[in-house]
Amino acid sequence: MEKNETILFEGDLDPAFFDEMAALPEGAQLRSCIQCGTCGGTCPVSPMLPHTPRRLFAMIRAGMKDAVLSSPTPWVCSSCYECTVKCPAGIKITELMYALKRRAIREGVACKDSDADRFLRQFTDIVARNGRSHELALLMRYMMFRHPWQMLKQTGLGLRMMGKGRMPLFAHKIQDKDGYSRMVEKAIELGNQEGAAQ
Amino acid sequence: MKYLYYPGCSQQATGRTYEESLRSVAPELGIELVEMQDWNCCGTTTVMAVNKVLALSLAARNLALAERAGAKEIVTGCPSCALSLHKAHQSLTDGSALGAKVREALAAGGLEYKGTVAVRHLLDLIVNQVGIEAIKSRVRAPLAGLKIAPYYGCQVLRPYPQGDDQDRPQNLEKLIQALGGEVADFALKTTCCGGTLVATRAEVGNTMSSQVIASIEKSGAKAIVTPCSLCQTTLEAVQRHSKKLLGHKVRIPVLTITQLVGLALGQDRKALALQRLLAPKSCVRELEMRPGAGA
Repeated sequence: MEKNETILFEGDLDPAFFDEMAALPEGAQLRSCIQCGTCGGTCPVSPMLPHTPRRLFAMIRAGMKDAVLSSPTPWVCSSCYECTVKCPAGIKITELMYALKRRAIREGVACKDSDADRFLRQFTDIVARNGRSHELALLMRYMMFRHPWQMLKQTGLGLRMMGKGRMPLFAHKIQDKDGYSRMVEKAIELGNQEGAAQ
Repeated sequence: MKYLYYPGCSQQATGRTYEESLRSVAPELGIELVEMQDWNCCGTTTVMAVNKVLALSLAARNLALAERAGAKEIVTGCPSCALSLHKAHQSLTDGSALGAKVREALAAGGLEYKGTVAVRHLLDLIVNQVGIEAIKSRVRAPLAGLKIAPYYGCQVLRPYPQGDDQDRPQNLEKLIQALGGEVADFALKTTCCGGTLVATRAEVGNTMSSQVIASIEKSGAKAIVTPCSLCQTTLEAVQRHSKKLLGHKVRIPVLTITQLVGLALGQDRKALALQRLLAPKSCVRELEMRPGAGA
């Protein structure tokens, strides 16, 4: 792990950040974190990341809001829940990672070294519109312009999946389109309010 | 027994092998599945990272439809769908402010959910409801001499244990043994395969899935069985790059639980959608032509 030689100035910290995170339903146990490191020890992706969940929680406590919200860790969290079921303090770590992702998207500060946030938003958009996910449309939209090289590399797999009948060309559309759209619209509105209240 | 069936999006796309084989084996196991009308995406982990109320409402709509159809239980083969449905059920029954918002969104779509539907994953249903003895009695082509790796992945066990022991799961092992197969022992049984990271963060995703494959290969397994269609696709796809990632070619077929059960019931490749697997024909052939199969 790289040595952290950055000097933190008190003026750059956001002392309210920790309280905001701890006030979320997901953050109920955040104050009980004793930095034991069980989360990082069980996490299958943290060996490949600069911040383990433990380290991220120490940063939250210190008020390092900008560094936390732009950290790659939440975006690489695969939602495997290893840390959540093992945390001796009962912190809902995976749920907190979602909360960090939502806040980073809202504040437009999501980690710059990948565009996983774009993938997630495009998936959400497709589901909000059609009612079901459509893998081909999602992968095309995600990769076509921003990752053309990766798309070319995946073409072989994509064609093979199509040949096997496992990559439908067309999206399924929901029947009760009106009711579904009204629910989705309301849910998005309420979800955004929840965000704004933070 | 009759159950309301929630397929989930992937079961009818990348995970088609799962649903097709499920439809073939279910009647033989005494399970009658009725597909839910006009179901929608469960929201999965993806929407949760964008809008929490939307994610829970998407899952909740399916619960509301199930309740309206009079179902007491909803069955799905997808671990991620099961997790999303569990989570939505919880938020709508714990009296939280969040649940009230989800209720409001449902109401806008003309729906309500009282909280009477239980969510059940297929692996739990097969092992603990149909039962090991009943399965044994239906085996016609035992998987004798076939070493099979029980790969759980993550969400079928965590955060909800779903009829198993989270730390020492046994459902897959019990199933393999009931079908006459041999259980391959390996370390990364419950370690995440990487899932969608293969798209958004390829280097991390590939490292995770190739580690799982390496661990399974060392065990000497001739096939992998998983209760998750995303795990199936990921573990199949990563083997295409095994030469680059692991230094040598690995070709182990990855089956869903229903395909494995079907093999032991003596069902054919079409019925079990074996032709849709990405593994080379010769590997799949080996599974079909094994000594116990009698084919």
